[in-house]
Parts: sequence; structure tokens; C-alpha cells
Amino acid sequence: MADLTPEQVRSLAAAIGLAITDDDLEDVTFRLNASLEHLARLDALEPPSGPTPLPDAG
Amino acid sequence: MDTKDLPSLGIEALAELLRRRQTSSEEIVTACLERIHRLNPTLAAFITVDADGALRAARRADRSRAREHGPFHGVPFAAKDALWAKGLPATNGSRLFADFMPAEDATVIARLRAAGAILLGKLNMMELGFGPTLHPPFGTPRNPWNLERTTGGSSSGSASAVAARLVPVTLGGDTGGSIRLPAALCGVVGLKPTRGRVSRHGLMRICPAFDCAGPLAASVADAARVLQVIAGHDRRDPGTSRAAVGDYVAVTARGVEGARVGVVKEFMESALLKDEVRRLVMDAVAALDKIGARVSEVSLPLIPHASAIYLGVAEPQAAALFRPYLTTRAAEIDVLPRRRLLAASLVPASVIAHARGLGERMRAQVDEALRDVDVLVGPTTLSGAPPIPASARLRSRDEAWMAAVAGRSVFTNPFNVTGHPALSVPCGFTGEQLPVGLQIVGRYYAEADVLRIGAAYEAVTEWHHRRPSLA
Repeated sequence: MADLTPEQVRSLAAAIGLAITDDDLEDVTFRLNASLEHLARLDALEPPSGPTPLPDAG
Repeated sequence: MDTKDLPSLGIEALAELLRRRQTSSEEIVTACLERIHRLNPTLAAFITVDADGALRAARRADRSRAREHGPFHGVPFAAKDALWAKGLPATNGSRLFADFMPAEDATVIARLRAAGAILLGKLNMMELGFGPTLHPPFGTPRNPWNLERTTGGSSSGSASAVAARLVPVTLGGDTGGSIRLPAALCGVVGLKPTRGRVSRHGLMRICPAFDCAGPLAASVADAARVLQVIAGHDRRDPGTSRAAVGDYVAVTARGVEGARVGVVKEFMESALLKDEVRRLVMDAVAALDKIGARVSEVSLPLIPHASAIYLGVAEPQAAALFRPYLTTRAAEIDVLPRRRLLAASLVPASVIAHARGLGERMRAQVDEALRDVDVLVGPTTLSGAPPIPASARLRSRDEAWMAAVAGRSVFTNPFNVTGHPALSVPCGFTGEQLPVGLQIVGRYYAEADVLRIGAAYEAVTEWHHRRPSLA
């Protein structure tokens, strides 16, 4: 489960040029962690196999 | 007929009165403008009302009606403020674009004008088309059925203006349900066409992969009349299809005999769905069965994951699109869409790619189901209209998930991911007397099927005849 702290979220945002205010930080952290948690559940699902799959990374 | 009743009439009735010279376009437009003047301060359905322009166009239409017979000749309409109309602001519901004045019409507006329709003005919407807005810059849209409830969105004014009979038909935009959700919550008809069926030239974008423009109306037949005019290839939108445009109006009189209707099991079994909405949808399915449809249950196993797939594709695209504004003018964006966009900006690319792949698989699953049935049906929304949001504060990631997409567009966003056409028709009222909708989904470019079945259902029910007391 994704569990980024508010400071990690602020740093990630800063890395792509976005500033997050103190007022927004807790809410954005909840939203990002919720998104990552639900998106992680998709990992168990297989997408359609493409015409040129990459070799296994080992 | 009293002229004040004119805004309550459908397109066919208005066209007939105009043909018989029992009214004029100027009378219709004046009646709509009077109603907007009286009710818009309460409903905040319109951002811009072009009274002078509409009256000038109406007088021109009256002068030319002997020689011009476009299907909408002299009939008024209005459009979501995400659609360009030459000479009128297109704010996209945001302070960011308060001064933006497009130099040309969106194709859908140009086509309606070419068919003789008269643009009354531009309609309120959730900011940037990106979900609930705590402090809408152009007034809080209110649901005509209960002024303390939301209209839904993002095509908020497009739905409430039709519900309150301020204008006979409107145009909206739908990226995750933004036509169908407010249509259901305001008790009107809303159609998201197949991806590529209707031009998006001049539609301000949220997620280019999923954005669609489409009609909202008081009846399925009127939605079909609008689609008839706006559908078809447009060289200015390379994403539009050259597939033949059907006769959408004629099919609305054909009935439902023999049509195969699949009830989506995962929708009806959703733990989030309110029991009273489930019952109303089952009643609607029973009504379709009674008039000759062959009803069966259909399973779409990826549907429970649709909101995550949608979020993984749509929200990062929107965040990328609005990045220049997030970096320089974030404080001008309302707190709710701003926070949502900021969070979506940080979703990793690997997740987005995986979600896109699953979206393709979900489309294949829906296509497969539609080999055995003509349409899929289910609820449009989880409940009747919720209260207007009063707070921006989230207390947990579960609340954040519900606030993102899972709590609103869980039944509509799957068909933005897959691209199939989807119609919402009124199918009853909750115990609080709030309308809800039945969603009907068809094969690619088979808008005729969803309109035919929607119209057949509408013909044996009376929900679409009910009016909110203020209207």
C-alpha cells in the first residue's frame, strides 16, 4: 500500500516544478495515496498481450 | 397558447408552431429570456446570456422562414461554457479563462446554427470540467428539484437549464460522465455519443482520449434531433469517424420489440448503489421486458476496476494539460479541482501505461458482451443528487478515493474508457423526490439502438413529463 508522507509528496511535486501550499498538502497526500493504493490493485490484472512483448526482465 | 409556456415545448412542437405561424422565433426566444431572467439568479445555470444576439438572430429567422427550413429554424439552444462560440466568452467554468474570447464556433455549435438554431448563451459548469467545485466562480449551480442539492456535473447548467425549461435543448461535454450524471440528477435526457461520432473541435479539453460533446434534452427524441445535426466527420477533429450517420430521429418511434437488453450484473450488485436506485432501475428493466425486450444478465468482470483504470488514464492527462496553469496560477483554481489536479500530477507513468492496457481490455470485454445483446443497461448514478459540497476537508484516503471518481462516476466513466455510446433517461424518483436515471449503452456508432430503446422506455413511463415545482 502506498504510504507517502506529506513531505515526500511535497518533494515529488517540487521535482516537477509544482508548489503545494501548507493548506493543500494534507488533502493532496490523501488523494495521491488513495490513487496509488487503488492503482496498485490493477497490478494483479493482465493487460492484453501486445504484438511485441519485451523479454522477461529476469 | 400562452407565450410563457413556449420554453416548455419540445423541438417538434416548437417547429410545428413556427411552420403554422402560430408563434415566431422572437416570441420563443423572448419567452426563454424572460424565464432565464426570473430563474437564473436562483439556479446559476447560465454564465453568459446573449439576449441581444439571440433576439437579433430570432428576428432574422422570422424574416427568412419562408425560404429557409433547417430542422432547428428559429429554435433556441444553449451550450456548456467549455464550448467555443464566436463573440462570447468561453470560461471553462474557471477564473483562468474569464477573459478568453474564441474567434470561432465549436463545430457542434456551428452545425446547430447552420440548422437554424439560435444560441441563447453559455452554461455554468464545474471548473475546468474537473469534478466538484467548492466556490464556483460564476455562481453555485442549484438543482431545480431541490435547491440545496447539486446538479451534478460537470455540465451542470446544461442539465438544470433543460430541467427548469429555460431552454429546450443544450450541449454538454462528457469525459467521465459529465453529460449523463447531471442529466440523471436533474431528471432530463443526456447522451454521450461514441468516441469519434461528434466533433470536439472547439471543446475545451480535459482528457483528449475520453472527451465527447453531446446533447441534453427533455426527451429522447429531442436528444436524437440534436445528434442528427451535430454527428459526423469533421476535418478539424481528426478523431472523428467517417462511419455513416444513422437516422436517429426515425428510430425513436420504432419500439423495442425483440431488442436484447443486458443488465450489467456488476452495476446492480455494487455495494455503493443505493437500494432505492437499484429498485427503480429494476422497475425500468421490468418495463422494457413488458414491452417486448428480451432481458438477460450480463457480466463485465473488469467493471469493478473501472474507476481505477479511469483515474489512471484520465486524471494524469488532465494534470498534464493544466500543468502550465498549476505552475503559474494555481491559486486561481478552486480548491477542489486544484488539489485533485496536483495529486494526479504525481501518478507515475508506469501506472498510467498499465491502466491504458487494461482500458483496452475493458473495451474488448464490453464489445464481447454486446455480441449477445443489443444494449447494456444499469443505473447512471449511485443515488439521487447529493448536497452541494460545503467543505474541502478530507479526513482519510478512503474519503479521498470516494471524492475522486469512485463516489460519483463509477457507472459512467467505464464507457469513457471504452468509448461506447451511452444514454441516460429519467427512470424515477427517490423518496426525497430526486430524479435518477437509467443508463443505456450500445455498440460503437450504434447511437440508434440506445435512442430507440430509450425512447421506447420513455413512451411507457411518465418520468420525463414531471417538472420541478419552480418550473
